[in-house]
Amino acid sequence: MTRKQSQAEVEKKEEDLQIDEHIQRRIGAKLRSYYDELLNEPIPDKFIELLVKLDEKERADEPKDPQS
Amino acid sequence: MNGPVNDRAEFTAGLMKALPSLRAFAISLSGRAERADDLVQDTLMRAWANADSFQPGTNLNAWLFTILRNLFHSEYRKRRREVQDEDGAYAARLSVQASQDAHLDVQDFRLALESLPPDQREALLLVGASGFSYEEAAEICQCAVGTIKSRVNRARTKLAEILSIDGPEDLSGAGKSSVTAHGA
Repeated sequence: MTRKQSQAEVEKKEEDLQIDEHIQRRIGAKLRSYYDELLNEPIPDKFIELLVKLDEKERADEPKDPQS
Repeated sequence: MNGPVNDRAEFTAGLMKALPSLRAFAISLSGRAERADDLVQDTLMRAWANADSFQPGTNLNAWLFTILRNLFHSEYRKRRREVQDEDGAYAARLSVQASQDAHLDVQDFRLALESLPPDQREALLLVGASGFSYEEAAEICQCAVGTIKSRVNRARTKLAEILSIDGPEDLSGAGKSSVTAHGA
């Protein structure tokens, strides 16, 4: 009994790991619509400002190019 | 010597371009907008400080995601013991913000995603949403490709369970009608 049960459990596990293609597709679609919303959120200005500041600092620190 | 300057400009442009996906990953990984923004900011700073260790021509996004992920996990371990109330407030604010024009569907999905263990969530996000290959995701997470595959599968299985997805399309979108469809 127990042996049979555990075997069934193993099979169930394997089955779980190979989930149905339809389900996979539906999860994928949900995941993408959730994620697209995040991707489309406006980027806070502070990130752009930070990058600009870092870039300016880098240019200031750069040894002077004799050609420019 | 224009080389390094040009490289740096290209690097900066790459960071700018990566911002939306970095932020989306940070939000979905941490589930908290404010923490996510701190994560993104720290990632940018660290990326900048270590710019020399980035090999131009290789995958900048994968490199950045690796930094963000490592920061998230070290912070996660640190923060685990700390108070939860402020996090709760962030989560609430995020959910209000997210629900403004979201379908209930997306809301449900977000909650389901948050209930996954972090390692499964990140594997699914990298492969299923951020467009990385299993190999790239394995590199980002510093684990074996097989581990990523199994985490992604577990994540999908768990989500299907939570969201009661058990077949092809949910045609009506309003509950199951499989029983009545067969008639008497």
